[in-house]
Amino acid sequence: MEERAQAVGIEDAYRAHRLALVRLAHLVGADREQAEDVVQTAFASAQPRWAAIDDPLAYLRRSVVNQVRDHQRRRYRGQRARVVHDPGTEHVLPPEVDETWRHIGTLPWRQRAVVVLHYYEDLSLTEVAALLGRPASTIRSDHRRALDRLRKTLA
Amino acid sequence: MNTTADPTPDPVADRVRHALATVAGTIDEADLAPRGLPAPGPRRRRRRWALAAGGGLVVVPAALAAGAYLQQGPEYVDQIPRSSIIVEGEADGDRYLLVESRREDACGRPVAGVELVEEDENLIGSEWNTTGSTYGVPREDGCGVDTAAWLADPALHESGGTQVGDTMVWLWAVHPDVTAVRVTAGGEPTDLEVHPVDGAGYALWEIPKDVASYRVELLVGDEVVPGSVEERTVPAFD
Repeated sequence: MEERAQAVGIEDAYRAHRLALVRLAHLVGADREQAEDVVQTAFASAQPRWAAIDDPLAYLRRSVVNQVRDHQRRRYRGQRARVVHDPGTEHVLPPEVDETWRHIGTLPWRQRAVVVLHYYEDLSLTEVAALLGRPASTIRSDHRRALDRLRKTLA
Repeated sequence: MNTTADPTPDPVADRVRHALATVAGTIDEADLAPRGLPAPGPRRRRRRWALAAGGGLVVVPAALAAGAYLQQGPEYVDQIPRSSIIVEGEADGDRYLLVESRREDACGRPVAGVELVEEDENLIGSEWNTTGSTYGVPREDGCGVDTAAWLADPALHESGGTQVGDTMVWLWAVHPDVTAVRVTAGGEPTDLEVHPVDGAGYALWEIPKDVASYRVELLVGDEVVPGSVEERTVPAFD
């Protein structure tokens, strides 16, 4: 979904992508409330430079993923466990989905992000590497490790 | 679909794909809070103080310069004056710098101490995060640090870690008389250099990946500072 900022206004992009970005934020580790917040922040951050952004959706995805990562790091730095009320857990998932989702949640953060971007957003591993700002070889390794781990735990 | 990346069917990959789509599908438009397009974000100028539990590092995710705005990391790192860089390092391909603090406190005065700047942190959408370390106890009003009690007892210090790449980098803020921080892991002692900054000392250690626990001692010359010995466990991190 490549699009030029010049051709797509930010309000249109907000209407078109807000939900997808909230879902992405949730899948890479944000709770529901946090997911909405980071998407709002992503659009707020993009506004002043919207016309200069070549690929708005890629920019917004990157912004969302990086913000969620920041939240994760803050939790670590704070060195305190935080129990987050997550309405997402109130949904009853089919057992196999629930088990898989729980194991995805135990992956190290970057492996989880790679899995989500590759299997949910359908980005190639090269595109994932560009989005995460990491070498493609590192992302391929993360992907392999994540699947190996999931294979073991889901076997 | 990413068919070229997965030429052969993989049941686990299919299961992961299905689970992610299902979980994503639990959020729909009706679940979202009614919000409109947000107003343009202000240029970032945030300052936050927090003390990590257990006598950890003073942690300050902060805007690094007034009027700073989001850019790619390398450009940002290039803006740091060479003269303020104390240590340069690289862990897992991510550069980091230990620099003299360039922050201001709540009263607009320069904050003493250092900041660990991670190049990889400065990505689009990321905050301009640094990890700050100051010797002493921050005053409640956010203005300055009380060092009197700490200066009277060389065993008192702050320490805390941050992740750079896949490596944990640990930082100590110690008494100005301390000449080295000795870390001993697997029976092998390493004396870390203490860098004097703003009347205190700062030492940095990239914790080797195979280290799960280690001992810390503060040294003044060849003498271990009484009361400074600590046994530490490397915290789990991504």
